[in-house]
Amino acid sequence: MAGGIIYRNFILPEEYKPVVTGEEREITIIAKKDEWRFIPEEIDVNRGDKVIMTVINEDAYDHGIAIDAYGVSQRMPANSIIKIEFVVTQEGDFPFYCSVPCGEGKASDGTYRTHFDMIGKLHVRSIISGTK
Amino acid sequence: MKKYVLKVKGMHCASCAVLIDKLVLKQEGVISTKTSYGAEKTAIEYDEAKITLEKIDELISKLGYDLIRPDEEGAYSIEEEERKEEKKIQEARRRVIAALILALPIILYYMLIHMFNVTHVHEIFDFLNLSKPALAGTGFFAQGGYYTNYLFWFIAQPFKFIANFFVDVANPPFRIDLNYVYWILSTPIQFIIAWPFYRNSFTSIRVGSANMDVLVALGTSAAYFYSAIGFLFFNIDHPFWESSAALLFFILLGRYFETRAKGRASAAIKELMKLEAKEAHVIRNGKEETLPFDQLKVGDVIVVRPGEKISVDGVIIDGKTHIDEKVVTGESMPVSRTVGDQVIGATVNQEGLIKFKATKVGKDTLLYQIIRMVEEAQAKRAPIENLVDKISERFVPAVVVLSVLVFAGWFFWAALPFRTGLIRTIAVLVISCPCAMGLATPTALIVGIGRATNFGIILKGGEALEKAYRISAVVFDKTGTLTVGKPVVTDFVNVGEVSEQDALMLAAAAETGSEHPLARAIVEKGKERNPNLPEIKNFTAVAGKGIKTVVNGKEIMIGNLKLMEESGIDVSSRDSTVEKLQSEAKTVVYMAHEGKLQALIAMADTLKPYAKEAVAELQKMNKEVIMLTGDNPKTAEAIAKQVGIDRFLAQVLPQDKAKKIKELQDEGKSVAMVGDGINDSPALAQSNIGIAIGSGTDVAIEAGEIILVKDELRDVVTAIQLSGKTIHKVWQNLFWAFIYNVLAIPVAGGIHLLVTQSSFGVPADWVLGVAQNYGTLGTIFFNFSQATLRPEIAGFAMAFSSVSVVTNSLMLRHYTPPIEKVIQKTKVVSYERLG
Repeated sequence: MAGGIIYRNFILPEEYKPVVTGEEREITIIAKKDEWRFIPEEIDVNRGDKVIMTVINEDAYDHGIAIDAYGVSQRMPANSIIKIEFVVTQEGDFPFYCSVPCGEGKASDGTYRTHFDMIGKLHVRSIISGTK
Repeated sequence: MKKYVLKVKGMHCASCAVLIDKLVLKQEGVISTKTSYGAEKTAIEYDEAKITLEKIDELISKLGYDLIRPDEEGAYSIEEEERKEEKKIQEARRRVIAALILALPIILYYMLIHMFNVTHVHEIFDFLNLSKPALAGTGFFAQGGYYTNYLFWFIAQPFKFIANFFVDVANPPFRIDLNYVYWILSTPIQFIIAWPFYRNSFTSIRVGSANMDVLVALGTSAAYFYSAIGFLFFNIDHPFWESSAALLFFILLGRYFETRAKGRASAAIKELMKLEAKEAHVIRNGKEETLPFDQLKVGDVIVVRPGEKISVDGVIIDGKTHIDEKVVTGESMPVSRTVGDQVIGATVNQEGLIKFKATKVGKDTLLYQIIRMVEEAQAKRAPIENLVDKISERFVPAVVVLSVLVFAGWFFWAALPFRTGLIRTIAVLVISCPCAMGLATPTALIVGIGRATNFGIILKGGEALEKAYRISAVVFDKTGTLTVGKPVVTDFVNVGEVSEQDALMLAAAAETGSEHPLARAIVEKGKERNPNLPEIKNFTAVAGKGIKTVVNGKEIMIGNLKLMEESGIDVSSRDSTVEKLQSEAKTVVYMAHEGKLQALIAMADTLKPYAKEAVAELQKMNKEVIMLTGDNPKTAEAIAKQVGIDRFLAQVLPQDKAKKIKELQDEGKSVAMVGDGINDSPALAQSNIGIAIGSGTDVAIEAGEIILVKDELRDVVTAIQLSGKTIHKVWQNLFWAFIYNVLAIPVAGGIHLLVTQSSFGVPADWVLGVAQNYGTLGTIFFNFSQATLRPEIAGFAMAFSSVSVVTNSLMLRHYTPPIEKVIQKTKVVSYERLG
């Protein structure tokens, strides 16, 4: 454990060290009624950002939102809004997905969608190369 | 140097035995200890100059167990022992039932929802307000989802009805999360019902080893605390109460099966104790007194009347009789005993009144020696090194280390948030909970044991099954096992003037006066032909020679050569016939009618039906078949030849039978012993697996691990075939349970990402290649390869694997061993013949 702490704080190569810039970024994600879809499905953030996510569930049943890499795993109770905060300390593409089985059905565009289609992507850009 | 086999009370798991051995062995003066959890016994050898038994007892007491010293032995009775065991089984049962009641709603809800991807309902009023579902789509999952919803709706209705009395369900004034209900249901399971797992893990850690209980405690606690704390304080998306509830229920079920299947080790000894005579008529100071058995002394003169049990070992000083020693020696025919001969306690005096002088009393008698042998064999037998335990010894620490590594990897090395590491660590702990592995063995065994019962085979415990299929040699006791154990008339060679029918009738009638078993055989034979035998007059039994009587006014004599010679009847002309019969292991008696030789009657113990077929079948299965008997080599050879056995051990004294088995074991064989008498019980206990014939004595049945109820020898084959199949199932179960863990653990820990991602969050090229080239399958693979197993899915998968293991085991219920099909066919054939 102690070795781990030392490693994390001192030996870890600079580029892998968790980055915290202190910049805040507000993002709103909506699960529209009977759509089995997160809107938006793609989110871009910079590494080191503190993401303040407002997640709205318009359905009459529960959803969940999970981003494995950042240990996000929150319930989205029916007809309610939750707020999550986390810092994207590492760069990469991370899926965010619904983590509570929420059934399936016909969406408004006529396609048949299920719980497993509720998936989106969080792009965390490197601050060095990401300033495009 | 002293050696004791002592009872130890209070052991609650296999680790306890290890703990006792470890601590006691550390003491100076203790040479060896071998504690068996199953038999609740410990065999201690120590140097009494260096340590006392009291000191050892004190040590063991400190650990929380109770050693019963020889001087305390009276303090526990067999009845109390039995009650305790019964209580243990009852307790295990209660735990299972309680766990089932509490866990069932959770298991049903989560299992069905995950299986059919049904919408989660997390609030009580929403649940009550569920509308009747409509079937949407086709296929297995749509159907499953439909029925699941229907079930939920159905369950909700009565609750809705009741709740409507108190609140307006349609417009609820408040909301209650269903998770509170699950929390309340799962808490008692985790901490009250499953308390033994915590206790056992503690013991196990104290010994410095890790058994499955440690993982069970760790895994379920991780699931429980993650769910409870997460739900109560962190609004996590998915508490997974079902992992802890379902897993604990399934494991408790497995444990209950194990306890029930373990069999009762102490029962054999109880049966032996029952055999001893409770009291004896002793002549003291010239008067006859009736004294209880334990007050007898060496040198006492004891009177035994016909039909009474002989109380202790001794030497006859007066009288002459036949004694049925079958219970102790296995000898099928009563033996003639007279002045100077030995008598054995617990045998039955059949005819005359005898007086004998006691030479061995109390715990020195032969019966007690046998009791001790059974006891020792049970305690000494190495505790079956359960494969699961062996795996767990490495598996458990490996998992613990791995879970720490997973945490370290994600938190320190990948430098991700604390929660990421925690979730993955919990997923690893949950998925490695050895639920399916723990169920693999007991469920298959209990089904196998149950199936065996259908065929009239009682298996005492899974150990019996495990060993039955591994045996390489089968030893049959002769008398009462291969043979009927009772003489029957095999040949009636009529040489006189009277017709055979009349001669047989006269012989049978004449023998009605005698109680000798050979006489009974003749009577039985005669009655087959003529149920109404004529009256007899002037009956005299000539002890040790035969009988003389008058039937229908004719003088009839039946007896041995001596009787004939004394009566001046010449039988030498028939010597060759007699010799031939004797060479076939038959006992021959002569019958004289009016002073002339009338018939030769040959009697023998006959083979049981299908003995030959059973032996042949075993030989076909490459098992070596050996016969063991107390008879002389000639008789033994004759029987062995008849039944088709090549190797036999003759003139084996009852007390040496166990030794012979040991010798066979030293040849490297795994030996099954098939027997029926008390004299067989040490051998049954010594053998790798004792098979007792149902017609045998109670003690043999208790000492055996497999009991053939039907007295059908081919059931030996059935037992072996069935056990083979069952063990096959166990292996199958273990393989699936294990491979499942091996594959799922890395995924749960996210270790596979090292291979499937080139750098963090970026899929590796080869994964992208697969995803693009294999269509839908590729996409599925891609999604799986980039995600980790979430704890709740791990929990679900774990519970699901348990269900599949149980299902696989249940399939055994339809298995019929090949030989059983033959047995059933032969039954039908004989039935047809009757018709």
